Amino acid sequence: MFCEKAHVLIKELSRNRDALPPYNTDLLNEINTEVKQLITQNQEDAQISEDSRVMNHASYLPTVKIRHAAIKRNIRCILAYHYNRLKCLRNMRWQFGSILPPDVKSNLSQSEIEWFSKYSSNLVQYMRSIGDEGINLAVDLKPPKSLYIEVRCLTDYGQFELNDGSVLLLKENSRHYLPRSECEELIRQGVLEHVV
Amino acid sequence: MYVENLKLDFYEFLTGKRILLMVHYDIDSICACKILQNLLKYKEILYTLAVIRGVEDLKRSYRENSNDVKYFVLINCGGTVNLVDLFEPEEDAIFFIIDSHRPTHLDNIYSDGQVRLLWTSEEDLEVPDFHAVYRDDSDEESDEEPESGDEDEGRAAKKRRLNEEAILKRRERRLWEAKRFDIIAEYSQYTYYNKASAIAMFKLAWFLNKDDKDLLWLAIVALTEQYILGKIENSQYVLAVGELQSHSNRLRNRSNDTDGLTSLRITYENDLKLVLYRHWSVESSLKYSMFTACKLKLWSHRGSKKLYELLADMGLPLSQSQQAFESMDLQLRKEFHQSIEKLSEKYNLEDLVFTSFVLQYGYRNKYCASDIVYAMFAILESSPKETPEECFNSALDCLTRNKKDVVQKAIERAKIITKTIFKTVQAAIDMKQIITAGNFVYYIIQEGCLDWYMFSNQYILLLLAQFILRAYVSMSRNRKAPDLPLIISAPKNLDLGTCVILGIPPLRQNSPKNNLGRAFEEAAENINYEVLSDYFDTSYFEINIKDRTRFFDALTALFDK
Repeated sequence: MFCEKAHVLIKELSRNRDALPPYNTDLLNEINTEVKQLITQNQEDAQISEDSRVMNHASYLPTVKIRHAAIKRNIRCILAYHYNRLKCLRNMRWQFGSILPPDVKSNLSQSEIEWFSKYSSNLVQYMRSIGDEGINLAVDLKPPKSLYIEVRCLTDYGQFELNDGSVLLLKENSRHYLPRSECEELIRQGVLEHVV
Repeated sequence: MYVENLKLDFYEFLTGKRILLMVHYDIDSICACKILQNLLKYKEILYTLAVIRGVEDLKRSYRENSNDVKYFVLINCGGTVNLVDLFEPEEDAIFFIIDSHRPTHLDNIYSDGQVRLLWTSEEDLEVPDFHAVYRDDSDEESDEEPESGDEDEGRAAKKRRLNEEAILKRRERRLWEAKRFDIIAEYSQYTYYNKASAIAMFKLAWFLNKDDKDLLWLAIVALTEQYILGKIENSQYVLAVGELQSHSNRLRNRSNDTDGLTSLRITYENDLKLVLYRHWSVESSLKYSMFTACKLKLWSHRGSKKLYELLADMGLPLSQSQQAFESMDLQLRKEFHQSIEKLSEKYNLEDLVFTSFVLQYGYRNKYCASDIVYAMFAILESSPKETPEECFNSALDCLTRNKKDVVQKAIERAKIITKTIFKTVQAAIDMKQIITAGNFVYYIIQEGCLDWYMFSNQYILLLLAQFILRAYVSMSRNRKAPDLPLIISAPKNLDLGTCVILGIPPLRQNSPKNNLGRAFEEAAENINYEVLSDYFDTSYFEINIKDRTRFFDALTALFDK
């Protein structure tokens, strides 16, 4: 059947909505070969029908059209796969900052890594261009009401160093009162929880 | 060392420093901690919060944080133990203590600056004089240095004299030591409680002009907890209530928000000693509350008849009394207080009424201080699965106004606890499990017992103990019954095979001063038992279950003396 593998690819995508599974190189290669095969078959059939028109034989045109639709569908699926992965990657840039966690990084393809670093540098460049000294758009998801907030630790994170050099121990279920700017990132990573 | 000026030497002193708040696991501490958190926010003081359940926790959390933090604030813990001995802290670590446990350890009172107590010396009763317990030994030794260059004869004489002197000195020293022992024994004889720490914290907020109604409510909850658990005397309670009432008037007049929807109102009202009756049905509340149950002996068949008689006298139809108080007829609801007060004499229910406060915000939310206290007991002590830190967090949530569902859930659980306590008492009486052993009464909760895990916690066990003692006194034909203290024991940790033992003073003593902790210590000493106890309140004690019988025998011997 045509496009079966592409369908598998899309299913895999929809199974992992907010996560990045390993880049499926094997499957993509298979789809590529399928597309290439279809194209060569099409070319051959087109050649035959071109030749046979002279001899008034039946035309292969419907077959060619169906194959072409399959090719188009395959390409669309591949594009969707890549597009959704990039979207997820872009969210991660805002979530984790410019350095990706190693387990995410190992799931990316080479070109995705390239894209990510380019996106990062573009973003940084843009943030630097705002105002006199630049502004970090990744922090303060909601407008802050105070400089310090009370947070609750959700996991055993261990030692955490503040900007002023002091160290504190983040233990599960402990409560702390900290500068907002320092814990914003940890809140986004799910280590801390803002207590309202 | 006492801190004289809380504002300068505590609040301003901590500005810009990082501190560790060590908070004991009880309602008063949680309230005090919440007030303090509020105050710390104004100065942007960074803090870390640690929950302390016992001496072990205290040590552990000090160890974990001592490298990074130099300033420690201990709420309701640490006052009764020698902190310097316990932590062996570095020179520059400073401990601020606010503790309602008494007696305070003498080394903490006479510490020269490392341990600082946030209350006045008047709040510690009968503290022995400094020279009665400490003495400078250094000059003594220097006296004994032999002096050379004297004549032979003189030397011999001198030696004899020196010897005599030394003997005299030693004798004096022995006497002094014996006296010191007596003095300390007398000082530390009773365990009792001072006024709630939350009230002290509220006063600090008031001095700083940062008090508001929310903080006042916290102080009220803490005070009510002390009253419900019988930690303070009635007179102390009445005085403190009066004080808080004047604060509530002052704060009410200060705000100009009179809109019913948004404003927060704290009103001074009479409350009944009925558990959660506003959120329960009248019948259940009457039945399961300690006060009415003991007066009317509701665990018996005759008692329940009497209960119906009371309800009939009040003119409360059964169908009304069995449904939720909120859905009762308006007229009956309004008259409920009056009608029960009117009948209090006939049914021997004097003292049913006590003064308390009611918090109201919006149209629907109305809570008595005691409702919140019971709800918090339920949160802190009734779940076998959650860790203390999780419970602590939800208890903090329970005190914030926008978490109504937490309070509602907790109140439902509090009802179950109250029922369980009642049923345990009923079973204890029916099965005659409350045993008189000469000069004290004891009751042991067996492991297999329903919901035993609830009673392994401090405060629910205390509630049960009070209930049992009162029930026992009201049932007993023994004329000495009101003079007997009660000792209750419940399993604590099944894996380790330990159990907790709690002693409460006799009813007739009519004061919460408790000397059973001392008795436990002595009994343990007599049987050479190594103490595991981890509690700050010495009237709680922890031993291995297999040693319990031996321990009780030792106690019996001790009380017979």
